[in-house]
Amino acid sequence: MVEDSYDLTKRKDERSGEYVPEDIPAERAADEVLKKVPGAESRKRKDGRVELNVPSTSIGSVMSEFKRMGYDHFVALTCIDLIKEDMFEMVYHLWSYGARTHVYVKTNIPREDPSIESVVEVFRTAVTYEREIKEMFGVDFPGNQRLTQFILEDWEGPPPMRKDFDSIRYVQDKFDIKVRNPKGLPPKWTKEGGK
Amino acid sequence: MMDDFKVTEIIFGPQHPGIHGNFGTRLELRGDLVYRARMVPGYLHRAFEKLMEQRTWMQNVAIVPRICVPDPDVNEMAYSMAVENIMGLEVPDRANYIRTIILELSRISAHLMGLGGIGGAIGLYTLPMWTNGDRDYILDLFEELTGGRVYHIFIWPGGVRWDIPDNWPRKVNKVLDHIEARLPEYYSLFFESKVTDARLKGLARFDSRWAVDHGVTGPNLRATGLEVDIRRMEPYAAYEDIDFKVITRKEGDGLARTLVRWYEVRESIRIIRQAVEDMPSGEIRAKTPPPLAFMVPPGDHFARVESSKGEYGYYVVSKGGKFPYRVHVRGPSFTHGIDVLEQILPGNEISDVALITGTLDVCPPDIDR
Amino acid sequence: MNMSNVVKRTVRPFRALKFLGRKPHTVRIPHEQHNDIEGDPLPTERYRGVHVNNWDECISCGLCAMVCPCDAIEMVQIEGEAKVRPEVSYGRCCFCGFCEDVCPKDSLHLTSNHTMLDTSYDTFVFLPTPMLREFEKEYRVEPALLCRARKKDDGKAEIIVGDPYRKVTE
Repeated sequence: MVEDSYDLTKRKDERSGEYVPEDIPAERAADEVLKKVPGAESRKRKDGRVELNVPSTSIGSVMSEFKRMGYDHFVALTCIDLIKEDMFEMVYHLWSYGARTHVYVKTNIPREDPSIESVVEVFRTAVTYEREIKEMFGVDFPGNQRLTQFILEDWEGPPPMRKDFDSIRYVQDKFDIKVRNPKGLPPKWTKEGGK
Repeated sequence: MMDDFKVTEIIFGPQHPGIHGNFGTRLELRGDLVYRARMVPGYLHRAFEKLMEQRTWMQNVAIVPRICVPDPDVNEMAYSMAVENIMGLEVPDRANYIRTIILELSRISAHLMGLGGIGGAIGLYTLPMWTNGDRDYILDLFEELTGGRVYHIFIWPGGVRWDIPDNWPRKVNKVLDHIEARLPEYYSLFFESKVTDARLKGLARFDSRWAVDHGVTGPNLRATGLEVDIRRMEPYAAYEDIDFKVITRKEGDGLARTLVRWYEVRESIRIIRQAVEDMPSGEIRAKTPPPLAFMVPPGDHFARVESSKGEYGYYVVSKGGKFPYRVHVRGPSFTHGIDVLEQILPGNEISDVALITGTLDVCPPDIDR
Repeated sequence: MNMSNVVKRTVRPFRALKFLGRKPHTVRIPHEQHNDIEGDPLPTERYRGVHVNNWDECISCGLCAMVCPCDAIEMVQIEGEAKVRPEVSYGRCCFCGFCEDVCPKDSLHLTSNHTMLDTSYDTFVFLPTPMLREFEKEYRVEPALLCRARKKDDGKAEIIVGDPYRKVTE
């Protein structure tokens, strides 16, 4: 096994420390955030959880405030393409082990040249999620140094998870696939490829 | 000291007997020790999230189990939970108990496979032979209930698909007796051996603070001492009425993670016996719209389930209509397999790379989806 | 060095000799029958295998084609038949069973037969027919019986019975 005398031991010290969960209910944490961040609003959803809507420039301070309040498990980061309203919606999911509640933090960024500040300094877990969203949706995250190619290899086309990328059209053009039942397909199918 | 060694760069995988699934690693070695590791995912990318936007709500249930191979029922469960919450459906009690039994049987079979993977990475090939042989009895049970051995397509929004056959509870108890009799044999084969101690003790150790900061969940987090389990924190299915223990260990190294899995198999056997005995009678499905005209009102929800590998979550967004607007699958290996591995591999020998991946139970399909 | 530990570690591995007395775990399919833990034969009635369709009951509504998540079913016109019939492609079918559940007349059914062997791809795009159902009732214990329908070039359906690769035992 590895001796302790390597120069990587300082990383080993960072890995020590016991975790102490903090029990702060979601409404109180949301109120603290609303005090510090202007322009944010919160509401209680039908399923009992709390949802915040914040402006995209203040996402860094919102995240550090939640982490300070004990909401330090970063669950996921979702990007939704709202093509009709011409914007991307970014949803940050946070969980607190002490209070046992889930909080949604939603923010909107414009669809043209999208970019939002990276939260990697606050939550290290977000680094892979931002990498995937950069590849699939084309959103830039200044501050994250690991935005390299992730899943798609040798891909030259537009970001594929956007709503204006027609995957059925792409498959028909590239391969020779016969559509057996056109009635089961989404309505924007055109006549050229199938029956 | 590491600078005196020769520098080599190799690609480990994706086809390698020690790697679980198709998952590549680009390693920079100094001598025998790993200096830097970069993961190469993407060999199993099937574009599930885009596919699910083009199929109706019920058709998605046939696609969804294929995201995770050892433990497919958690996908169906989390998807169904999210859809039921948006629609406001109430699942009957009998369906909840059947779902609990299916989820726990799937957890036992995934843990048996995971233990076999760790044994194989050490070189003890008897252990995967034994555990995969015993897993076969569980797959036979699934086949008698659902009609398929690996992909069940049985849990769907509203409840479950069919009722259980009459002689099935008796067979479940027989299979559980058999596995319970085998567990001490696994213990004396694997954990009482000096080789296991030498290889797994102190391997890739991390503490609970580091684990929570880097998104580690599931048995890996419980092996560092934190007593957290989604079945206790946010109960779903029938877990509120069932009495079970949450298994933790204090050390946080490879041996602790493996032991947590062995003890969890025993705990799951107890849960299934209680669920079979207390099964209520009643309906197995709530009233749902017909499958070709299944409409869900606008809304969104994040549903989470405790899978055998960690926290499995589905975020479903509906804008009203026949198809989902966005489905985001959050797999546990998304955090374990990329960032956590890249940070704990440096400093270890190359023969331990597959072993560390095995103790963290990284399942590549839920990274790529 | 602890002597009792050394003695234990030397003697304990001999407990493994008890495995010589146990039956092997392997089941040599198809020479032996695959049974579950109580001895009942597998696969059971619920198993989702090869399709059959009863043409007397089928009303050609096309619901099976609409509900299939994998786009595997196509309604085809056969020469000499008035109604269109579903044709299944096994390159795409995922054996979920939704087509059987949605069928309003219970004519499409997934049997417990799971073997289908041929050397050409065209056999696996076929019309499920009622013939297999009768064979399944009679030869239920023999899992390797193969019976399939094939669409010839002139559009008529041809039923092929019996497995050219394995004999049916008495």
